[in-house]
Amino acid sequence: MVDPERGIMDRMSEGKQKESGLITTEKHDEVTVVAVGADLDAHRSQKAKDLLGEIIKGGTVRLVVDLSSVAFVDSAGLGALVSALKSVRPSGGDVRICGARPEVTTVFELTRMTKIFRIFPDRESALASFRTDR
Amino acid sequence: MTSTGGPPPWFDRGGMQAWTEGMAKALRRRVAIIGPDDAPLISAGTGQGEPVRIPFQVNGVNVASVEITPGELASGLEILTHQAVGTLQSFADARNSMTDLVKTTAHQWRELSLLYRFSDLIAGLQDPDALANLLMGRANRALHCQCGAIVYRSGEGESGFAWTGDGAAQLRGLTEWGARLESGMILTGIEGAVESGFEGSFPGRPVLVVPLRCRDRNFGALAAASENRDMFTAEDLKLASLLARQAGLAFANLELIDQAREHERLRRELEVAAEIQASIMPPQVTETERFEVAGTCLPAQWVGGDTFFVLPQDDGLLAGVADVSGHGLSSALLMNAFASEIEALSFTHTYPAELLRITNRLVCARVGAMGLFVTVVLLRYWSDGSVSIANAGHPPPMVITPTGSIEMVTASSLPLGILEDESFEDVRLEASQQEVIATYSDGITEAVAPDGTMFGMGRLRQSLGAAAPDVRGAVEVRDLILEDLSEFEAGQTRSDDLTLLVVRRKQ
Repeated sequence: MVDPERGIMDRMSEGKQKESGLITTEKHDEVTVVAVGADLDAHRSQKAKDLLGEIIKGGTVRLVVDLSSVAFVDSAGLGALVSALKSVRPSGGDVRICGARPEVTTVFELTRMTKIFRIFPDRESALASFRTDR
Repeated sequence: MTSTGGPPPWFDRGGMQAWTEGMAKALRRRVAIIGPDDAPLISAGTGQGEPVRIPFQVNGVNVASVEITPGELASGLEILTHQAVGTLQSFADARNSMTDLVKTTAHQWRELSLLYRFSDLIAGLQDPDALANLLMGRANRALHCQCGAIVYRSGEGESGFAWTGDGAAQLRGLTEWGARLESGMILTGIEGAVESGFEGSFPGRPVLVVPLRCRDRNFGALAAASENRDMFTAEDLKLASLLARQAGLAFANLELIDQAREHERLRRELEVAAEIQASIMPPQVTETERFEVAGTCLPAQWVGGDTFFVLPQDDGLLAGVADVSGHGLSSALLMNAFASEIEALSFTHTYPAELLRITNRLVCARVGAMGLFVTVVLLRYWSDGSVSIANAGHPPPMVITPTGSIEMVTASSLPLGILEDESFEDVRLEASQQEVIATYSDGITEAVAPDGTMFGMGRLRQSLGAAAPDVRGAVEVRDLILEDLSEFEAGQTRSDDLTLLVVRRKQ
């Protein structure tokens, strides 16, 4: 069971820890991989935004958002990702996307979000991109 | 052996008199019933000599005796009398049990009446203070307490305190502690309270404390100090718990009523907001000498984050569709501000990319930090029939060319509100390249059929294609798309705002 009294960073330091049915986090050095477990639609996007905000408040500024389990992202879902990106950019951080299905990638392309989000085919390449940044 | 004083409670003088007289007549002796204090209660017949006394017991206790004077058939009669007395005892025992049953039933009836009356009185109450006072009065009467106190939710998160009797103020700490319990308990002294986790003080008499609980939530607690040093009984705790449970349910209902009132107030405000938003939208059909424009905007909730613009200009027309990320009230508030700005800026800025550049800075400054953004596409028609299209992250407008083919103009820029220094560009289509342009929000392409599939741009293009061969009027094109969408959705509830704007150039 997750102890709500403990900080999210403590919980994440245990390696892989389920935060909710919507998001799972996994720490890789200074990068946190956030796997989204369900579609980012009007109902779930606010929750996703709050969870991402919580992770960032805990001190994480480099995030890889794994969308491989997501079939649909609407504008509110994009808003959650944009909000996370805007929170980490001033600290030199970034939010990178990986595993997006073609239909989800299309949403990023049509809205031109590809201008601000770097999209990678899988986790490994997304994590590697942060290593090359150093 | 012990005896009780006076005639027993079951003593039925009429029945006993008849029995005694019958016995005296049958035996031709004096027969008497003697009370526990040796005083004759009933006597019948006559006889001489020292009488024989047969004890009469009820539940093993001497309550009376039967005296019978001696005679020829004394021994046989004694046996007979013993048998008769035995029968009488059985009758008395049964009657005694019945008396106990009646007493128990009467007690339970009083409890039931109290609970029923309490339930009846609280049914119409809508004031938590009145409810607490009523509970205090009933509990005081039922438990015969020296003093009692109740803490309760008096609305808007405030805590109320009701009390009765001397020393009740000292019960406050205990009552607040009791409001965290899951079930009631009787505390016989400070030691018991400390063991139970209570660290305050209260009068040195036994105290009963029960939470006002409903659906796993506590709405307060009732505490009562005993009138004397006798313990409260398990029956007292049961009765107090029943009263507290009813009160808990009533407090829960009051909270629901408050919430329902608040929801109703918000619903009325949203109704007004929806009316205001509808009133500032352009008319659904606008017809000028050179253009026919048909638009529709259906919010998923009362108000939405979509809108469309139809602003006729001296040399043409400015039209477009915008969508604030998310939907609902927050999106609607931003959208209304944004729409006003576009309209105001259209008087001084003619190129759509320029309009987007300025409004982007405004949106970034206002709500950029919240992660909200606006996708927008603007069409600026010029006097020669050409159109400049600027698209900020919005789904691509679909253009029906004069030859009936369909082309799309994809976005080149991010939505507004993301990057302050984002650049925007106008894509120009000559009059020969376009006749009808349909712009729409993602509420159309992301509409879902019962089997979970999305309408998508492919289906929209197909739907538009059905209208394309003999390019029809803007209203007809709009309605064809909406009919196809409605057929596709087959009654599914929409989760996003939906906007469609069709512009047809007449010349």
